[in-house]
Amino acid sequence: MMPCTRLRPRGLHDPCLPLRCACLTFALLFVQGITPAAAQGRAPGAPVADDQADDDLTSLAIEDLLDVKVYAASKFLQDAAQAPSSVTIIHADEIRQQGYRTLADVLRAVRGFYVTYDRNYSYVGVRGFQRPGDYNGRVLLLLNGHRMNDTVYEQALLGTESPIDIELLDRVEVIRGPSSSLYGTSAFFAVINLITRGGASLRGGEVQGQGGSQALMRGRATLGGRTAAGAEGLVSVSAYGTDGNTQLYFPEFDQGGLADGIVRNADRDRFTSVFASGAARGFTAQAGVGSRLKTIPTAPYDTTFADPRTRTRDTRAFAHLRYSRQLDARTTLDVRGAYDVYAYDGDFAYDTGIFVDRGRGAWVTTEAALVRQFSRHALTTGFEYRNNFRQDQSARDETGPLLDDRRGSHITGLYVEDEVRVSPRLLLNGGLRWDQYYGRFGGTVNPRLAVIVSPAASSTVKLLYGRAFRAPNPYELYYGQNALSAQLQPERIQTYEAEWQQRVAPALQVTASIFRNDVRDLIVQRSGSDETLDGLYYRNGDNVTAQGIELEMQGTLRGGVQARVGQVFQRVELDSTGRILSNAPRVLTTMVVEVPVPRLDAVIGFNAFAIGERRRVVDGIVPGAFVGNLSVSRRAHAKGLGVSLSIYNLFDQGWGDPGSVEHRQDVLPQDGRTGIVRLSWRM
Amino acid sequence: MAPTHGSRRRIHGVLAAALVACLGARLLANAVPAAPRASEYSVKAALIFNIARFVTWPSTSFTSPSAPISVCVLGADPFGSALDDALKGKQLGGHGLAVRRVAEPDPSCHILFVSSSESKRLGVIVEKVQKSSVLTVSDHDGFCRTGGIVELFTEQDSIHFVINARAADPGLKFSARLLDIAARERERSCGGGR
Repeated sequence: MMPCTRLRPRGLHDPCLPLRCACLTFALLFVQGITPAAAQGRAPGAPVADDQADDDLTSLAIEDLLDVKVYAASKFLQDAAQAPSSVTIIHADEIRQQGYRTLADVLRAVRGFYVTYDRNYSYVGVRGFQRPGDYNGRVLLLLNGHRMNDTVYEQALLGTESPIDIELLDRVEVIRGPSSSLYGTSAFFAVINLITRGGASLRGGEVQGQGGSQALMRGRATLGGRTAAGAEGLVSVSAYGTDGNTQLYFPEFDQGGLADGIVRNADRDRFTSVFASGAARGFTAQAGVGSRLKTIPTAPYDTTFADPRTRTRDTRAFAHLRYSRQLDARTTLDVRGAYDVYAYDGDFAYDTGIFVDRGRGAWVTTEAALVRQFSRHALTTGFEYRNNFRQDQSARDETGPLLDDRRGSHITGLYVEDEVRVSPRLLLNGGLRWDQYYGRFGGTVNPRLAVIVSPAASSTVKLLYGRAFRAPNPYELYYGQNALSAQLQPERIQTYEAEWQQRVAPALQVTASIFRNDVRDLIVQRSGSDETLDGLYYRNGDNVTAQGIELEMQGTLRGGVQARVGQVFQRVELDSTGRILSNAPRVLTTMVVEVPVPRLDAVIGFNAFAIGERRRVVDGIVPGAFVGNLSVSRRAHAKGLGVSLSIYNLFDQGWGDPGSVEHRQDVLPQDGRTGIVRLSWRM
Repeated sequence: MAPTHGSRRRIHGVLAAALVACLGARLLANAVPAAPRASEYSVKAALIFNIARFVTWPSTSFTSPSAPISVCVLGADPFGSALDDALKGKQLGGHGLAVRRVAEPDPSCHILFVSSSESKRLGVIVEKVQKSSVLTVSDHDGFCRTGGIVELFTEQDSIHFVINARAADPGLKFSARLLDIAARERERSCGGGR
């Protein structure tokens, strides 16, 4: 038999592994962070400066100062410290230096987040919560503030299925906790806001080519600039293709001889995407389209094993226009309009023929918000109207049509948020949003409250309370569902969180957070229904309680070495039985390290996660894993060539994610060691 | 399932490799001299001093001819000691420079740096000191559009600035050279400034 990717659980049953990793890295960071920086009494803003360079900066002429290259200080301290949530921001530099390929890679490096990949889509888990049959509908994905979740499955596209090339991002803002008070549905566990680069950051063109293991090819061409009048624009085209893992072994399908459990050449993945943005005179526009075709090697839903005709195509297009106007010194008006389309095409191969599954969504959104500043507070009021004029689902097989569900819906939302600066040390933030689902569930009101105290300049304490909802989506309600599904009501969450950020040394910050999530009427997927198309259906079921502690250390050490280490301990259990939820790791470690090598003008990046063991959907345990990725990069300057090399799963760990209800596999194997080389050219 | 002896060794191998890699990288980083780079806020502090060289305040804004130029930081201080270090012992036109941290916009400041932490009330802050000869400075995106005078921004790894001189009190005088540099620097227009 040819060698193929198998699960090789090399001792990863060790339950203490992630913990040990965390302890080790924490210790490393702490020792390195405290000693050099503290000993020299450096300022937080000046942690990484070269001594000689800094000493006589004031003696430089103004023109020369403008040419001094800087290590950007993390704006985290200023901006995120005031936010009414626990926030992590990932910048473009980190994305490039760590060789993140997709948003899923970015999220794997964020404290408390983990990603499950079933070799079709990437599903994000937040604070121990990732349910089978949930297509990221409990996380809201925004692109420059524009809602990206579709309106049929409410899916946030995070892996290669994302219509946004990650290289176009300036930063990713990850906002933990519920934000329904501002955004309505889906802002249940977290909001992920993607901010793209502006045309001005390019001033010319940029071409990038990538090649790697698994016959991976990826290319991008981006053009951007700014006119003298201050208008800026950017346009970018990306294409990607890979054969994926050409040989996968699934023991569940190994019947000896006849079917050996090996799938060949059924893991292909390709996408193309186009994105354009522009800004002028208070107007901001963005539009994009992306399409991804993925061959599914796992034979879900009892499809024919190893049949490459089983595949999904996801196409997402959007156009968004925003107008922002300062009415007077204290008042800003923000008006937005958007048109969105989503198309899902699933083909599932059976011996008898192809089961053709289709989802079509189209919607128009309008939103207006007014921000008014007062001497001690800032008041935001807003209105949103969404017309989901197409939320269609259909299915057919060789016998003819099985489902043809066409419908639409309307939603209005009204929200208000007030930030009150009670004293220099105390900030209060309260928000409230009312959503009305016409003809369905009626209205829902969701508040959020935050008390932000800074007892000293070096510390911030946040006390957070929030409530959020997620409305059942058309897929859960109408996909050939049974009578129970038609009765679905929104699920709800209440969260309590206390977060403490402390600068323990000039350039070292520690964050500790304790949280509790109470989820009520959770919409759960059940199997075994005779009335539904796929035997699966949804109902309001369990109440779930999640509790946990998060620790993070983030710092800049001597020589510009930057590190971020997060450790999470959590427990997510069903209230009725006290049983731990499936796919809910008890421990999770994330680690990101960047080491500049100035002599070579290069940066070494290392990121890793260690995930504890997870319960399977059915009984049994998926072993824990420690997966590390290493990158070496040299950036392209104003004009010239940039190059980087990334090795993923550096230690070639055999590991897997738990399979979902539609899979016969208990564990879905992930890739072993792979590599990518990138060349980029700036003009 | 109990881990086998071999697998345990494997984990330790992995951890050891990670440790060695971290330490190795660290040593490598320390061994080579750093390129002439500086930290963001040291450069911003130096830039504030350099801009101040080209600005003249009305004599009425000083309580005495030898009174210091008062440099205030409003909100969460991003400088640490960088601003104090940059201005220590410096003189401009016979005035020393004194750094103060303030919680509210104070018209007696000569230079008022507004931290990003105050982003929600920039308009109000600017309004409060607009009629006084206060040079407002911020690195918050869109500051000069709000009526602020100097906006610092980072682009291509270096710090740049725009000056919205029209927003300033007539008592504040800017040298032609500064406005000239700012004009050449004009990568960003201030947009709908007044």
